[in-house]
Amino acid sequence: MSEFGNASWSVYVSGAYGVVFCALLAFSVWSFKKRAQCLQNLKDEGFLADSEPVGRQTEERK
Amino acid sequence: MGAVNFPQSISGPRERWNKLTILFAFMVFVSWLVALFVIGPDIDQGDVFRIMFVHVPVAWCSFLWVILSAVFALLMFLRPLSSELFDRSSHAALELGTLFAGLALLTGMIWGRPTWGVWWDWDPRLTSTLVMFILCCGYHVLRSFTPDIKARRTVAGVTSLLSAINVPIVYFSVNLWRSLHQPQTFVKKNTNSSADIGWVLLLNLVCLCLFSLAMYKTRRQGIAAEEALQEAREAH
Repeated sequence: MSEFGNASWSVYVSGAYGVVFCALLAFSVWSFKKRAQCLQNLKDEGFLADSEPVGRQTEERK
Repeated sequence: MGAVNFPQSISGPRERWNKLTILFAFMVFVSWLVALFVIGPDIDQGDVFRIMFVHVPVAWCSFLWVILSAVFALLMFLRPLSSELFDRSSHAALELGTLFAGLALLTGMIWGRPTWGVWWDWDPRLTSTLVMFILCCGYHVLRSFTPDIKARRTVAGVTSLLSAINVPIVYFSVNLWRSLHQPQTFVKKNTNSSADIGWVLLLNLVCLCLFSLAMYKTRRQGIAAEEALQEAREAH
């Protein structure tokens, strides 16, 4: 038992690092998925061709 | 079929930033290993002090992104022709600011329980950080509930500037008022911490800042894609 509290120090340390790890992972995955979903919707709805590199101007396809 | 005016922010650098995200995530992992297993325990706090290596960088990242968001918001007001670009940057930066402010509060609470004996105290540092976090959350709420684009940009920009005004209050709160929170870690050279601790803290800070930069770029590209999709749908 730690002199500072009821639980072992390892519980608090792993808890702090675990919270940050999970939050960063969740935010990163959400960001990547959200970006991929929007780009896919642009392709599906015909605003962006499958063949052209993602993000390329599609002005010439008018 | 009409054109999609795709912003440059999601054209070329998308693949590059995907790779950099993985690299910076690995660097954060290594810096955490150094903080957890290489450096020795603290004389006063023992091993609990290792929370500092995640809590302090997270708090500094929250300051960084909230201030950057305000800088972009200010540029948005000063340069109306590029308001779309700066609004997007400000939005992405404040999303990270909110995330890191929330994490600073959570890790601070976890550190406070074994050292102070309580999870929360209405201490100036904690309270001002909570105010900053609430202001950041308010930014996203206001953004979501303002349908008009021009009004949304103005409201969001003002809220972003208000959030940044709170940053120096949070930072100097431990000096301005009597506080349970420890003073600033690095006030003068080698006064509040050893050199080893300083280097490990700096390593963790740099790695987390780089990773947050990669997260920012990805998020900004995502916001650009969302806006392009919305514009394309409205145009047709």
